Amino acid sequence: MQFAWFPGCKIAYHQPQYGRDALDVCAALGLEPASMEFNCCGWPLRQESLRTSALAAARNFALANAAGLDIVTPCKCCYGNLKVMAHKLQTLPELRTTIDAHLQSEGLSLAEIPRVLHLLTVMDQNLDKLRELAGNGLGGSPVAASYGCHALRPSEATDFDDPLAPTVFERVLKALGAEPVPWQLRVECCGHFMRDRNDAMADSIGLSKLRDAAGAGAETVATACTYCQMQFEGLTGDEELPAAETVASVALRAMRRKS
Amino acid sequence: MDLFYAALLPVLTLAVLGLAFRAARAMRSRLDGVTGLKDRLKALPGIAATLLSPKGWFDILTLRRSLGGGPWRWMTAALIHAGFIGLLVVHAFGPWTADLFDLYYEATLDPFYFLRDLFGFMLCLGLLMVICRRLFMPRLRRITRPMDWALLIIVAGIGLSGVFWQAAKSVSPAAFERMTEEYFYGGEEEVAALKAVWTVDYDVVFPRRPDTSPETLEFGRELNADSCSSCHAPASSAFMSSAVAKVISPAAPALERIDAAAALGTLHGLFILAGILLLPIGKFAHVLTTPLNLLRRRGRSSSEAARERSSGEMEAARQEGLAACTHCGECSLRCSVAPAYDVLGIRPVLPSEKIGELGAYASGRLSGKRLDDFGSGSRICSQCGRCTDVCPSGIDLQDLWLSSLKRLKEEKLAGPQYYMPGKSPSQRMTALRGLAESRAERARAEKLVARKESYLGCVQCTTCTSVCTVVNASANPARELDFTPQQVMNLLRMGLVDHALGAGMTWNCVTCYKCQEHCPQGVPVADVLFELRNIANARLREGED
Repeated sequence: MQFAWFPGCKIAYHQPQYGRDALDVCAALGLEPASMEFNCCGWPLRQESLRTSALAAARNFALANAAGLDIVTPCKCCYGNLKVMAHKLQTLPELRTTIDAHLQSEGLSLAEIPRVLHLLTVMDQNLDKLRELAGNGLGGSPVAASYGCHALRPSEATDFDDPLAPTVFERVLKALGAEPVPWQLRVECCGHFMRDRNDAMADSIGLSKLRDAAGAGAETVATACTYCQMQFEGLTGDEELPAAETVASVALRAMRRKS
Repeated sequence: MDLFYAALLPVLTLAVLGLAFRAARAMRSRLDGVTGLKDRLKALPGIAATLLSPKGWFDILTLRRSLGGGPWRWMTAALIHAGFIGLLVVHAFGPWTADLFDLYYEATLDPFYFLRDLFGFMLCLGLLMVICRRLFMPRLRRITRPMDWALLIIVAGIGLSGVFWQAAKSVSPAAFERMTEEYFYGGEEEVAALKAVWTVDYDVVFPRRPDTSPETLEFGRELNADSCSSCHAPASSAFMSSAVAKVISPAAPALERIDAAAALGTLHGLFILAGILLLPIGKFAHVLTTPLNLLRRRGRSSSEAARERSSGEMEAARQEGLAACTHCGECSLRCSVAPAYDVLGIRPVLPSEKIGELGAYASGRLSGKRLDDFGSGSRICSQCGRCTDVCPSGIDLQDLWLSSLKRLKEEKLAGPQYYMPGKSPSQRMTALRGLAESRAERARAEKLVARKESYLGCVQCTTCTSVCTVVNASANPARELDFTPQQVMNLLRMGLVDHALGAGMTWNCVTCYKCQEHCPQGVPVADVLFELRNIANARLREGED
């Protein structure tokens, strides 16, 4: 399967390991991510203006479209924003008209909005292969799947999984030989958004998630979003909390243990 | 040229003084916490050590980093650099170079005569490519500043005035008369023969074209070999000025009357003096500051400021980076968040524009709208690091952005997202009150706040509030959030937009969309909160216009 790889802005500088690991996982699954020079998904720009965010997303769509490829991203916020903007471009004709004019002035066009997938979905589509590669590499170690917000909600636009009772992350972890633990805050926000804006709030939200995962017996909190991973890595309390690990890193760990 | 040599020393002195002033200003300005002179002096040995970096020298000599912009970008840079440095070596410092290689120097003698035109041609071609790049890339054209054109005009002026000066001298019979009077002994017949040779081989345009029959030419060439060719290579060696001479030959008598050669010589000198005089100003200094920065970076391309040893050295690295920008615009062509410039027109979103403002900010010269725009540009940056990767001058832009954003946040200059949550309820209520409605909010394709239908369905069931991550996490919602989500919807239903804009809830929203997902009545709560923040940003931005 060939697709346009959309790492998102945070990978290159803030989460390079996640980027490398995700590509290694793709390679192990025999997938062919094509590297393209995208711009921002539009997520941070959505704070500033809807049209700006829509233009950023639409430029990416146009680039992927020109290459005839679907988009795959390892970041929930990139995924969420691309999906929300695709939805808005389809439901707000006035927005679509202005964005089309913008794109045209750059020599781009958006004939069709490409499919946007999250890395987790792609892994889920290759469960058998994952099982084969990972075997029981993780030996049933307890892992808490942290879903993050923007892939799940607003579900009307994101179309990722059941927004109230998602299962995709647990399926992937199980295929990797881990034992996904049930925990209460798995679909809650990580709190990264308030980092540097209201640090007490960001800490409170993030720590309550990690504590809840610890209480459920998890050794690891698995993430599938650059922002969630940055947030959990940055939370250093005195207490023993589960370590945050990206789903790509978990997968590689399982594959290495097996072999 | 007498004028030139008289002015050279004072102009050089001024340039050196200007550069010293610039360095002193950099020492006083502040990009991070380091202000102490002692820290900065301690960094000096480290700065000196970078001068020996082999990888840095490799970058300077090969222009490796320009390759990031593609082969044409590299070719442009290579032509200009090779041309300019070549001209310095074989032309400006020609006599010294000749001494070095034990050659006899005469500007009009090969290899100098030929090389001068060759390097001149490379320079002109490179400049033409740069000018085309600035004219035909829309975003680059929009950010090109008078200073960019000024540098191009001066460098192109030096090159073209030189070429035309040589051409004007070549076609001038007066120059021929002067030279033969001084260096040639012969009768009328000999002079006629020599004139024939200089007409054919040296582009001179005599008022009456001499007889150029093969016999005369043969005789003339013998004379030329005895008296002239020890100092004059044939005009064809200087292929560019010779071509120009042939083009302007019909106008030769007119040019002679106005003494165009002398005027062009003066112009050539003036362009050079202007170039030297402007050396300390803005991007003119890049001929010195960019190599320094490349040495400092020791071949590294990613952002790795933490590796610098002391905080003084870190500050020095930042100052060197700041000074090294050539405003080539490569970063802005590739910037991840450029759509924010394209739509909102905030110039300092683009790295090449932001770095100039950062210099002003660091030395405390930024205020009003410019400061606000700098704050907006800084917070909008998504920190993807691409500008650092593609910068031909090797500036660690990422590190500059991270350190300046940190300071902007501390000084409450990074925008309402950053300063609103920290305010008290009463400060929040007045901070965004009474701002005029903005053009941007009127032009929105999706208007939720202004449409009563958006929250008409709200039955105040408080589902949004009870699922809200922020309400749950807040130790004191009444003081921190002012209103809960459903109360904000109620404010808007009553038309109290200013109150909603100032609500702590609006600025503490983590955008998790649980409220919207769970609302039994389909009220787009999270989208409304998004729109409120968009409106506040637009009103603040336009209020400055």
